[in-house]
Amino acid sequence: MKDLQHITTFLDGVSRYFAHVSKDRKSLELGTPYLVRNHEQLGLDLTGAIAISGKTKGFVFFSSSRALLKYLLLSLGESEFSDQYMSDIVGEVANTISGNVRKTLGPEFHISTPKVISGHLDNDSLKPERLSYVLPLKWRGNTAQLIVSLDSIDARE
Amino acid sequence: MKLLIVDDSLVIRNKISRSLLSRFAKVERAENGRQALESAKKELPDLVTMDLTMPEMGGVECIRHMVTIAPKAAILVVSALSDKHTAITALKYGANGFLCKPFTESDLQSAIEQVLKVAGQR
Repeated sequence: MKDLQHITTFLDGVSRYFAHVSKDRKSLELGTPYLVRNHEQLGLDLTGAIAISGKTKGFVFFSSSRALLKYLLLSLGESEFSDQYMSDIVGEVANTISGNVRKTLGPEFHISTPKVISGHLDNDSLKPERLSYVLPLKWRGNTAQLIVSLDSIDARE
Repeated sequence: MKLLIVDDSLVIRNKISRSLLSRFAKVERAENGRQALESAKKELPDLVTMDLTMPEMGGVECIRHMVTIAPKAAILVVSALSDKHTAITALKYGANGFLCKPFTESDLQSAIEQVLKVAGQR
């Protein structure tokens, strides 16, 4: 049940973020979350990784296609789409969604500053002994994923 | 009036700057708390927008020093950390208001009005 609460909280956070930047809820399509063992290769073009510490340990990733990040930058008033801007926005989305869950999960849910990963996620972040929830989404037709990989996630739940 | 924007995100610094440029005669930017304190010593800002989660020096530690370096500055925390405990801690150390990310230009303008009022600078 604890994991279900975490996932619901993150789903709400993703919905709120994209509703906020696009001023409507229709442009976001949320897929069905699924559980993976960390043997699979995960990660789209660019990923913002937030390390979680405190009572719960692990990582939260916002992984995105470059196309979605370009639309996000446009919606925030930017007209430059260099790697610097793409990396900045993918980290900021990961930071915002992770930070917002503290309203529900409390101040013991500590978040790091974002690290940006290009391509597949590395073993330092996606530890093989952990499971991860993948929340697929499309925003304005462009693909992204929120990946929640926390110690508390248990395949038996 | 002088504004100091403190945030590790370039996109957020740009967004705040665009939203508030017409209101302030000078706008300075800092990527972390350490840079913010260096800038504040030179410029003595009237208003500071302060992120909390930043590399090198985070926002809470920066606020603790900022209130002695620029005691007249109004400080608005602009952070993704949305829990009450974080907001109360920031206010305890000297912030005048709190705005949660993501925010609209209108949210930011309203929060700025409020902190300037609270800090007695209007």
